[in-house]
Amino acid sequence: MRGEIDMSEETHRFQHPAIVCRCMDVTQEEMIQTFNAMVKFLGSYDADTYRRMSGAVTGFCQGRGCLQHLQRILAGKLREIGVQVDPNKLLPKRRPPLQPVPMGLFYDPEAVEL
Amino acid sequence: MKKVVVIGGGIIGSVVASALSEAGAKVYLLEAKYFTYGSTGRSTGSITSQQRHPQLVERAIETKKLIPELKKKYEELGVPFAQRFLDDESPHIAIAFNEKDYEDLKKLAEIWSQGGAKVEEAEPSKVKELVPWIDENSFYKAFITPNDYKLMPHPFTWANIAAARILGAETYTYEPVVKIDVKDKVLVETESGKKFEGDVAVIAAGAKSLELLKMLNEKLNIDVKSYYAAGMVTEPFKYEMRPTIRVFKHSYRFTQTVRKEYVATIDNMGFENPEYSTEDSYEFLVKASTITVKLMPPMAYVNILRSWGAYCDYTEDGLPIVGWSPKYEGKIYYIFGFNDYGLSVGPSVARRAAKEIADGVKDPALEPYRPSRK
Repeated sequence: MRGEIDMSEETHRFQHPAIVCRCMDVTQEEMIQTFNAMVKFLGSYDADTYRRMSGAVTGFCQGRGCLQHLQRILAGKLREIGVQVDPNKLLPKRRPPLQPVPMGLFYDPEAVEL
Repeated sequence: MKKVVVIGGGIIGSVVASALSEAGAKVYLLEAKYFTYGSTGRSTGSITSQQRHPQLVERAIETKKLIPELKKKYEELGVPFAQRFLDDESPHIAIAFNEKDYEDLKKLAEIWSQGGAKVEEAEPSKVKELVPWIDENSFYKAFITPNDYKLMPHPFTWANIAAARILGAETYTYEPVVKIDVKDKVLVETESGKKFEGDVAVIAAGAKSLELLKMLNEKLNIDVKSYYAAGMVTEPFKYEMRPTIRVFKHSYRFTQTVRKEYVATIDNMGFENPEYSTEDSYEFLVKASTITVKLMPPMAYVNILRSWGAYCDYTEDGLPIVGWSPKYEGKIYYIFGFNDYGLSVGPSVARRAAKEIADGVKDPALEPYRPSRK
């Protein structure tokens, strides 16, 4: 549901392993463990580091399926440690291309001296 | 107990912070955004002896030796990422498309040998043994350094930071430095108003170091310019490709990460700043894709998922800047200007630099890199 991120307690009590990132096979349990490790060992909790450390949002769909799960879990865990954030503001950096593009489409031997 | 403020949370800052913490210093590591935000997190992860100066070849060989030592050290400290450097042996293959490329590479290959690297000249058929899907008719010859390495810069940097913190360092992210005052002590102030006092401040901020130099009102004799670089990453495939391919004349690097996606970078796009348009992103995608598909035609079908830009600090003589500030000797230490070899050369140099800062004894291996050189 775009714009609405389910922050209820129930969603945190998924039976594990509940896969939240299907592209990279990351479960909710793993996301929570990654958050704990990130805070303990790096003292960080930004969305970009969380994305890289957990692997979520780094797969083929680049977060179309799981970004809201990353936001939900990150905001929920931050709330537990006393940091209030708007889950919609926890956005890892977006980059081109907007969709997967096969390399062959950019092939232009006249543009590059080989 | 010596207090050191390290400014910059990439590969250099993280190694300096962990090495200084090991030596018993109290370290404050300040990162302007998130760890690995700069060129560290935007690289292919190459650790290669293919450098342009023999002493840099030595440093790269030393960096590779450091990796298993650090892994063991970090495992003993209880760092979780020690298992996950996502590293592998990676013969680096420098491609010559024609005879002119070959002559240029031959000169470089001599430097690699001088520096102590094993170098092999290879026909396309030999390269095809290492990379089966390469088109052996698409290039002339290659030079291979079979003992090179690769890893993923993020877990490696995180492991250094985690080790530093376990050993007592305090680390801060999203704390850009806005003021540095050098008196009896060094006072560093961040945007949020936090103040850090140290006996020494280390400038390890990559391309951002130039801004900090201005803050300190210091001008070095060596010209340092920040050039735009770019990279891209593909969908994952079964892990098949150990080697890393380089095309020196285009600053191009290509490999498969142990996370299984292919990654390609152009370490210098030839201009200092991108414009506010998509043209520069497009130019990179054309350049990197054309070289990749020319060498490995099946890659035409592989999907690019994400691309990015970066800034790399290039020095006019190609050597990094490492040592005490000429203006603030003993108080400000510079360690930046690693051109396109920060990951290969950085860890070796950074650990030696940390020792210099902790012991106060100059390391002769760092003499070619002094900030005061002309």
